[in-house]
Amino acid sequence: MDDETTAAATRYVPHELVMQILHRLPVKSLMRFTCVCKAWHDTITRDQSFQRQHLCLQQTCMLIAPWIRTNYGGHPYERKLKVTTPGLYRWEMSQDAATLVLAMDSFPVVEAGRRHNLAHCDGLVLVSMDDTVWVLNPATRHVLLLPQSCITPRGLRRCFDGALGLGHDPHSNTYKVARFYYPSVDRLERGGYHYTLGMEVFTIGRDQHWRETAAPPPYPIMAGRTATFFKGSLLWTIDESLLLPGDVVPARGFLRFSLNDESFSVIPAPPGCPDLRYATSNLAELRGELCVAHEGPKHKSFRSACIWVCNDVDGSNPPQWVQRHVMNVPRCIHLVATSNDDILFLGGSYNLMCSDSQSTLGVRHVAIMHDLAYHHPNTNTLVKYTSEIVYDYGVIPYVPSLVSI
Amino acid sequence: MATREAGKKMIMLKSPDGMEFEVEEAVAMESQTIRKMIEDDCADTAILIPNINSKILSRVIEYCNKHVPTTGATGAAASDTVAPAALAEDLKIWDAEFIKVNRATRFDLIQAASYLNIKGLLDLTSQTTIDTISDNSLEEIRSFLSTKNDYLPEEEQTIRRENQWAFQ
Repeated sequence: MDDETTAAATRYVPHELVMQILHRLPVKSLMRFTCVCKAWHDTITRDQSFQRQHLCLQQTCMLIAPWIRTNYGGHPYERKLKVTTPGLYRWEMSQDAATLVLAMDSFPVVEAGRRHNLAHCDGLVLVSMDDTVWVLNPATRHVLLLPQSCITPRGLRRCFDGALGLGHDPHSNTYKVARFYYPSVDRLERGGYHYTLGMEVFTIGRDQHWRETAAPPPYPIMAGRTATFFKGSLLWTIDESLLLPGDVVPARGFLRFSLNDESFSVIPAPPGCPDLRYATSNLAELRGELCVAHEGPKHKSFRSACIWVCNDVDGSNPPQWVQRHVMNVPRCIHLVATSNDDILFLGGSYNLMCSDSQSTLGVRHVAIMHDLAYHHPNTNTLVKYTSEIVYDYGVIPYVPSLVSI
Repeated sequence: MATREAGKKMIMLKSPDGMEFEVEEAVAMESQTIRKMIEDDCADTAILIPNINSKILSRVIEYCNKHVPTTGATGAAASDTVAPAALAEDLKIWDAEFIKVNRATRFDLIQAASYLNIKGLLDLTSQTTIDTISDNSLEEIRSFLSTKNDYLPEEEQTIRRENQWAFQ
């Protein structure tokens, strides 16, 4: 076939070829290309299989929310601490600057005394401050304010703040937000509390209101700790300090909420750590595996952190936990993500560190959040957040996506 | 497998315009589609590659020859002494030169890479296209990908307003 006929044959560009190219375009270009023609608009904004394939070809980066103190003075742990955030910044680890992708002033956000950790699932980000819950897609700049639920008793201790979770239910192909809360809490005269537990679910794109689960959750979970989404389930850490005297936990572990049938079960903790301290341990999904990091024995001035891994929490068999890494760390760690062969974690509130999977090179610094420059593209200015004004940082892995909310 | 240890097993690839290409099995197996055919024993004599003309097929083979893991294949002699980083850099330069083709050829290469399931080639060809078009105007995109604008002017304005930020 000569050049001329080749050129003639490609005057018509086949649909599959157009899709091959569109799948790889950045979200911003695709949002612009919704104006190309009606078919592209429908594919980009509505076609879930297109959106999923597009998601698979995007690179994971970091999303950072600096939490700024809005009132000074007083001990930072006191309840009157109030924070707000200027927005969500996207950061590729090879860069010195993070870029603002969604300014929080684009929707009414106020200073808050209570907030939950950020959560991410397929490009959607869960943000909660006081009793307000948002699901955001920073890439498409869509913002969904979830309906208010007015069943939280006020003026309680922080441990009754409840917890949230965001995940994808593969059976209904929907995204669900779950909210754990205490419908009632009474202080007992002889000390301690009597409380009831509740879980509400909001299916994005389907529900108008929160729905109560058929059965309440069996155990209290740690306040403000957003669930880890893992293979169709949300996983929270059980708060043993709140267990009632009569409560019998079948095994120490984590509370699992299946997004498909909206039922609860308990995932036993790794067997090798009977003295697992839940307050300093944390869960994360890293490279398709469920990981729990907990504090190991102390060596001189260093602590050690143990990371256990399991592949599956579904089915009737207990999960097969395997201890994968032990590393020396300066303080408690919070697992964040993986990058190539490295495990990334936050040590303290603003130090991002990593350790290679073989744990041979020790722990290395990746970045100090205060030292990053924060770029505002609209005004083309760089902002610095100093340790004096920032209380801490929300740092989560993030993949830009077209998923609609 | 005895044949592999003995030397290089050769595979015959046929394009629909009747040309035949004899390539090493390892090179052909850069294509996941061909690999599957070979593993399923569907590749006794010659493999007919439909829809890919000899001009494009020869370019694809050229790419696979360059990218086949160097142990025991062509070009291996040099790699023993060259550091992996330098080798990767060399491949990058080679890729950049390889992809300097006209639009029609590049589209043919994307389709061929997609059909033959050669991830590296698909990444290279589509990424090059994306680098060309991600900042293009709507008119340029329409002409580049032969897409007709079927919006009424006011409809296009509405959609454009909804995504105004993406045009900045």
